[in-house]
Amino acid sequence: MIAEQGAPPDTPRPRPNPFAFPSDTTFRFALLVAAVLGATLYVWNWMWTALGADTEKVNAAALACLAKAQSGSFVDGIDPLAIARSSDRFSACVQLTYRDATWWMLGGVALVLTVASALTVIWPRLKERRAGFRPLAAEDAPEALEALAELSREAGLRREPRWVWQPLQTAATGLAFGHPGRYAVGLTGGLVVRQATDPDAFRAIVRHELAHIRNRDVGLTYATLSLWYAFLLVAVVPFAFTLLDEGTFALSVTWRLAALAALVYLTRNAVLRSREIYADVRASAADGPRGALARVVGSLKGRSDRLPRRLLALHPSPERRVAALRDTRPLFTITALEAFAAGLAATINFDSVNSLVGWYLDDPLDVATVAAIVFASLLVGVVGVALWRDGFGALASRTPAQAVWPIGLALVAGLLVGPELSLAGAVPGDDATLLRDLLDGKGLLWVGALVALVLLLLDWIAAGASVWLRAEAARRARGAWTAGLLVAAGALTIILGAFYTLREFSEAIAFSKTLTAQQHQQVSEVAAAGPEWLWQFVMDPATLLVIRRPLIPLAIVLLWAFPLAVVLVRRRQTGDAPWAFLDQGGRLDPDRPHVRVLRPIAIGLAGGVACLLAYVVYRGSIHAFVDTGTRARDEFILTFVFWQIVIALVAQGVAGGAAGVFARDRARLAEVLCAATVTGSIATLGLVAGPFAGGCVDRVSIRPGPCTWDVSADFTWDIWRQVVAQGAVVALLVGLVVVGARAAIGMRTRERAEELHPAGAGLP
Amino acid sequence: MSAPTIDDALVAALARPAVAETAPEELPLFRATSEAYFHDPGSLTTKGSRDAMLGFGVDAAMVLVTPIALSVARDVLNFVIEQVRAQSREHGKDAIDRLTDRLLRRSSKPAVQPEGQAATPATPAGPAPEPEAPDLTKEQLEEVREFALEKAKQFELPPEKAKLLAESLVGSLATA
Repeated sequence: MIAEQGAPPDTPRPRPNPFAFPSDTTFRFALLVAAVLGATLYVWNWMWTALGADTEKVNAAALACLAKAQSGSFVDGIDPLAIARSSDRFSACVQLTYRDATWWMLGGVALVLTVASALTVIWPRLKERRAGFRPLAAEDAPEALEALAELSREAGLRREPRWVWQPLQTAATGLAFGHPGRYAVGLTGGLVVRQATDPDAFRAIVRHELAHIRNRDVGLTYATLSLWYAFLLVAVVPFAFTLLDEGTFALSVTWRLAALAALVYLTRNAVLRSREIYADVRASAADGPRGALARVVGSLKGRSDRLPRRLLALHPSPERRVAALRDTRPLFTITALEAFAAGLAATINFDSVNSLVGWYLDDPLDVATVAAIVFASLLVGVVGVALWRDGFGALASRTPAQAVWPIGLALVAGLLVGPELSLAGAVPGDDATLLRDLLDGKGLLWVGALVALVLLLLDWIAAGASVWLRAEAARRARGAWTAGLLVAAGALTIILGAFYTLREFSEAIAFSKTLTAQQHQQVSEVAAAGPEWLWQFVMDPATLLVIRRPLIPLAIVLLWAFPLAVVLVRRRQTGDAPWAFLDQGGRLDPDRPHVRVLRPIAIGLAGGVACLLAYVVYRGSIHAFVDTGTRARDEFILTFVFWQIVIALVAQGVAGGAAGVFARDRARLAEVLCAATVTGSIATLGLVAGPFAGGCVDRVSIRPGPCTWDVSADFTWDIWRQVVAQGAVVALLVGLVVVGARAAIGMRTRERAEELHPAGAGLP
Repeated sequence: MSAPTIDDALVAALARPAVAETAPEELPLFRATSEAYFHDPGSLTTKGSRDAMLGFGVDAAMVLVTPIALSVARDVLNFVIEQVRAQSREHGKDAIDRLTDRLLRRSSKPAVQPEGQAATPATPAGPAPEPEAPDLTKEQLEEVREFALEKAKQFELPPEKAKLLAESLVGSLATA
């Protein structure tokens, strides 16, 4: 102990500034809002059915649609697409019948929002009255008011809040409440007295409350709560009356509403606990992590930190708060429970939004994609922002970034559980949820695909954050994180939209697969068509319908272009970054990312050229060894196109794997995708240019034709989208194997080196 | 028998010197605090703060004495008046009023008058000498002290402050 007394004073490292990046908690509130509004849509749709719908009119209209369909007026002759078109028109006809419900649903949402706005304004006034707050007058506490005004200016508030107090409250504490434009801070009598007895403690507590206002916690919290009470008032209460004679359905709805309430309540508490720490941290900026705030927080009444009480509490334990004041790094991470709750909130009322959009759009994929825009964007706002924050926290504190996979698994778990709790699920239907399918052992592949997609996307976000933050170094990376999160939101929208559509139409897909299997059998009798699974992967129309969506290749290009665009960051500034730290002396001087763009492009070009050569050899071989009659058959042409696509996919896989071998940084998979896209684009060119080449050079012709370019742009576009999308899947698989193998080899090498030269060996 | 109604001014007159002695830093807030107390005595909270949304946290420490002093003073006065009422045969029926006047006059003396405020519309001293109010015996004062201490402890005031408050209240009564 004596030796310690003589030790130099403890000089803690500067704390990373959690306000340097937007907080994920705002998006968590927004997800709750979306979930509640989604439930409102469902409730008012039900209300329309129960109260507003003219049943006779609806039935008559539906029967008229059916009659039209049966009379064949929808069917255009013997066109093979006629049935599909007829089905679409029938759906559109029925949708028109139910479109009145839309006004009820949107009206319900408008009503909830109106009442919520009114409550947001009224609530603080009620609170002020009920708590017995009275204005803090200058004649009572002139010095306190002077100090409060100064603290308000220090906090950077545009407008000083109203100061009110409870003279008979003996404890020393404060409370922020109100709404934008009319914020108030309530002080207890005990706190006002502290201005004289312990000014540092007084300032620390007031700074905490002002930080709530500055961090926009007050408006957000009261708006969210107002929305919840408005939902109870103008959605749940009338809904309950319509359920009185519904028996088991009412029970089913009740427990689902209870689950939604629990989600809102627990998430609100979790977010508030998190915001308390943010308020502490902002308040501590004035007097440091070991100042008066730490002393006052440390003296607060402790409580049980066990799980049930912890979930219900509005404040973290004093120990946690003091720890967070000293080390802000945990504020840059997201827990698995938070990711789970985000997934749950995103899907708990996804179906209701899906139904609403479904009355305006015909294509199920468009419907799911539009519905997914809201929830995917908010989900990325929670998890994506958290990963960027973690990347920054890791950089600023020189600590490892958190693992992505627990967050991804928890998020998927939330996505699986959400539909189980949705109000739409109260109506018994034939559609089994993914979770039920999984429990029955049928949905394993679906869940596996969802897990893989989500993990890949989260890893991409983390990788993008890592390379961009290092490239920007001491500069704020506002543009980078905005762009990165927008791309991620777009990608997740596409993923969720496609995933839920495929799930919804799994029976149609199964039928399509049966037809594709028959097709495979048919063409196999004429030419080698490879294994059926490969044929299914390349040729199944249902799969093609999804992967040929224009947004998918665009998303793929953006997914590799964004991380690789760091090579464009030329001026690199390292060193002092006051914005990045709460305390003086913080520096950002990371290693420059080892990202290359020319290398994967060169690999892709080489892969493309190899693919072109393979096409020439393939065409020449067929011309030489397959007779003209066989070559003229449609089945043969089908297999010919099939094998050309397979060659393109193999070339993309090899190019992707090669790019993975050379890639050195966190964004390895971006280089893999880049190489595959370049190879796929050249392969597409070779594929569509084949008939022209065959027309000009007989040795590579399949069917005799003119030496002219008569390939339609639509066909070229279709093939490019297919090759790039399917090639991306193949390249990612190969790339993952290569990256995994390299990681394993690297680990083994390090272990061997450690065995040969143990740490510290040879040191004096 | 119902408890006698105690004049708010009398309560303030008894509590104020006690606050001046126990927690002088609270004197500037005495007027506002006593107003709030007399307006709604039931809202006095000494249970520490709640875990309120966007509050600072649960503070168990109690740092404000004035509301407790007011509450204890009211109880003490009730207690004392009960005692005096019992002696009213000896000192006449106006004994309680005379005691009240004495306390109020004491509180309106310049020495203890708060800056720029009057705790009560003090009763003006009459020109004619009045009969003496009964003095409390030493035993009675000790009884009052015990009573006040018990009340203060019920409010979970720290023992030292509770003792000081009780003694201060008794002192005010003894010297009134």
